[in-house]
Amino acid sequence: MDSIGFSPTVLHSLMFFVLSEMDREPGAIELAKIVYLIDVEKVRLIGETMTGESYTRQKKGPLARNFDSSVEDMDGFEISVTIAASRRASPYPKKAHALGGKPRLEPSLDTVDIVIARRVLARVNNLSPLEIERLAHDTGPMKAIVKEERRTGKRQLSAPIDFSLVERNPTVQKWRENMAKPPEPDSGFEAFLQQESKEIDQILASLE
Amino acid sequence: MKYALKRVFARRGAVFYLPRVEFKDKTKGKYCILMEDYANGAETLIVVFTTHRTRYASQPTSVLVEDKAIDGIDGDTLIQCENWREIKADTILYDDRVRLIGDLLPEIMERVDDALTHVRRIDEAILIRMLG
Repeated sequence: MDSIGFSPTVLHSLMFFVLSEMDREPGAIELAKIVYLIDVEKVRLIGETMTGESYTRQKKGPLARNFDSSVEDMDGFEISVTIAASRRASPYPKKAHALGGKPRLEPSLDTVDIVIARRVLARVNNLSPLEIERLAHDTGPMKAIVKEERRTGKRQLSAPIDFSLVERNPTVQKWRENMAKPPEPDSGFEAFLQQESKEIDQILASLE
Repeated sequence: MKYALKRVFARRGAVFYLPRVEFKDKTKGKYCILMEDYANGAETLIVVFTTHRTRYASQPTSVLVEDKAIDGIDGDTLIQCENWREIKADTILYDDRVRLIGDLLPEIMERVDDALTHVRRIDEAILIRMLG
């Protein structure tokens, strides 16, 4: 796809960002799972996915509906897809995804999304593709599907991934609510903070 | 402590002592709580500082920890979440003067998480870095 017909989505930008931060060339399943885990992490912290993509349960776990087509869009430009030997013990070659040489876009994630993506990348960086797959299976939405599969004895291929089953960390939500309230009246607290802050800055300066 | 070992223990909740080395009044240094796990290649880390001045313990951004509740720190300690800093990871990891003291108990970290929801001088991105 040339640059004229290319309308980048957050999914495009996220994959480009992930590949720019990784020190290896992930296979398709590994990359798809990392993107999914980043979406799960954003739901856990903020309450919405980063990509806005819908996901379904596929043989190897959750997959964004537009994952394959988005890789195709970027192949030869932002992404270079090649056939390479698998990591670790797998005898099968894989499609390796690396940064491409003719990028048409800059990674355009906002600061919060970059922090969230890096949290996940730090967690998966030293994991094998299989371990990353297990991590994806260990999320609330996938556990619910697997439970249903065990109950019915049938695989729920193409079942939608329900992100409302992700267990939330309420801190950011509470912080937003508290920031909307007027601040407490000051009773010398500000001066105390400034004094403490000055001491901290002096200590840090002495360590540089 | 060997640097490799210090890297391993540089996890969220780890307590470090930063000495105050060049002041006439010989005041002690400060303790800080590491608020994010160290990841290979990370250039900075977020920490929250503590103080022995406990007058403002009732502020919602304060967590008062009683004497002996933190290994290696004597006396009541106030964790003041407004006093967070993003500091060079090298300062924590490779400066011999910065000592690893121990880890905060999970129940204290839960109180810190709650206090973080009241911190006003912070960007959302930094807050997210501080969450477990």
